[in-house]
Amino acid sequence: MRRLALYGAALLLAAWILIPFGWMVEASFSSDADALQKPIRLVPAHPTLDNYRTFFGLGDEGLSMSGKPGDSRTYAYNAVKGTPRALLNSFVVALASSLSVLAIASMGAYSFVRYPLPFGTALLTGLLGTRMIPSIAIMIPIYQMLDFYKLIDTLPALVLAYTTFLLPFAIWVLKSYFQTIPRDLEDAALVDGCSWGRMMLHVFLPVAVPGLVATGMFTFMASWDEFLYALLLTTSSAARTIPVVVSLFAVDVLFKDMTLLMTAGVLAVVVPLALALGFQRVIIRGLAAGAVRG
Amino acid sequence: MEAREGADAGVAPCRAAASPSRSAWRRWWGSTGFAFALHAPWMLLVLGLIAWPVLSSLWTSLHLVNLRRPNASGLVGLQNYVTVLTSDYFLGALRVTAILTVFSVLGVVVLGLAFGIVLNEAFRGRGVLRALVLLPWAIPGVVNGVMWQWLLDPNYGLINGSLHWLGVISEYKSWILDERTLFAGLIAAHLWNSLPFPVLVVLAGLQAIPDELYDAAQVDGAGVLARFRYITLPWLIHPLLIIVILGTIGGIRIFDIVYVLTSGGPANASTTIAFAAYRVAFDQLNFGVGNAYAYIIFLMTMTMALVYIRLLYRRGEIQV
Repeated sequence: MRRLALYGAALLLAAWILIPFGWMVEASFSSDADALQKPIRLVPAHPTLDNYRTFFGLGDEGLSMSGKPGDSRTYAYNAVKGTPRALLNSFVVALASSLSVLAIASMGAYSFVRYPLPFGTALLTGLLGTRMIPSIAIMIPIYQMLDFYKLIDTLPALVLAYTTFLLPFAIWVLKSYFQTIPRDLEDAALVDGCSWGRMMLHVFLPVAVPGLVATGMFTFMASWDEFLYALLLTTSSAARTIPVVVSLFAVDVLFKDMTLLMTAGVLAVVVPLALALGFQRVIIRGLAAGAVRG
Repeated sequence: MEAREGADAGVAPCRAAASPSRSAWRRWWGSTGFAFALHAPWMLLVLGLIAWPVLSSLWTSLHLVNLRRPNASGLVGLQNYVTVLTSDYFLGALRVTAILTVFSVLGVVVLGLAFGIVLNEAFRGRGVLRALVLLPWAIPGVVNGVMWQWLLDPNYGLINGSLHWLGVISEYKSWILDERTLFAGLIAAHLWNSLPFPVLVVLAGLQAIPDELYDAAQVDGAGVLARFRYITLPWLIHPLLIIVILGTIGGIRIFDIVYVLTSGGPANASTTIAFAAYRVAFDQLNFGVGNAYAYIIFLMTMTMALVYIRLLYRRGEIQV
């Protein structure tokens, strides 16, 4: 009886997660004719790669009639063509943001751990408070500032914003990781006369790799997923990231091609999903610790 | 300049061993200055791109700034806030936000608890299920939104299809046209995306409970419910509080799914305060009132954040 309830609940959980996701993936492998029919089908009658081919410029079979080249040159049609570029943009922004976060946060976290300042706790609390500031609350000044410096519609604007927003979290996590690393190695290296920079690069950071990997992965995924600032700070396919492109044709009423939309969704998910499943242990530990430690 | 000196002095630990003649205060300055130098990059970014905008937002919110009406400008005190707090647009958005937040926090607590408990039991396939729980967490909010757009599709959506097949509904429905089902859909979408974190937090909390407690209770003849009531719940109070606080903050921020799923519609029926702030600032180009919206969101969130930080303090989680 107890086992039965347990398996029932487990099954329910699996269904809750897998069915919506599977329904999206299924549509991405369907033609419009298969996807748009009543009653609905759970498996496409004629599985096809047409939608994916359309995104990578290998054909237009995936486009529904309303979006064939020549008629409605909608946002969405351009968005479809801009998808490979958007994936690249997302990748570049996420990688650049996480690398700069790691560099800057390592310095800060190291300082917190090894050089306690009289007001260190206040600083750390302030940092935690900063982390809670919703990015939507400061979108206007940031937009104006980046506009003033002519950074709108450039990737550096996104990298700058994401790096700053993710720093408080990264410093916090790295700080608790660095605390577990014994001092002896560093002291030995410094006594041997090597500079602080060399000591960090060759002695300290290599020991801290697991913490750095976890933090880097979180920041990469957060940058990849971010939508509001990507929407505000980009105006053309030169800088649009994948969430923006997906949103463009999700809200375009003239161009409703559900199978293409779902394909864009799947394309946007591949990278973060691969990371999440590849690093699941790190994430589960990190999420739980992050909750408790702020 | 100070920072630069600090950086040079930073090799002090290196040289300190070689030249013990350095005075105590200089060594002290060396380590403090160096500590500053290491903090400088993040402080610059946080001051420039977070602290300054927070102040600038407050300042602008006290002015008339509308890019559509460049001639009307000037300090107006709290007038923008009065405009916001008395407008139907804001009050409607506040109501929507409150409903979405309350129900998604309830959902996150109940489902987080239930699924956390399930995943803490030993059964075949538990490892797979634990990995699976992470899946929604890895899905960007926008993708989650379009996924639910497709699930809720009035003509070909899975929800219509399966409910019709089960005989629950006799005809396909347009879910977003009815306020109840509109909210249900948005809450489901938000829950789908945000549930992994609470589940994992509850799971971590459960794993911290010593088995002896349960053994002792069983010996004393406590039933399943009594054990849950007197052992599990008290041990989970803190994790649950954290889930509630972070869930509320997450609710105040709901933007992505509204943007792609309903664009705030139909007729503002699903406009949240975050979405309203975006519309006022970047569609109406009214930066004065937009910043007032932003500041209201800021204050609401920071109130919750303060509770959160106090909670962590009391647990002794904040220490250098």
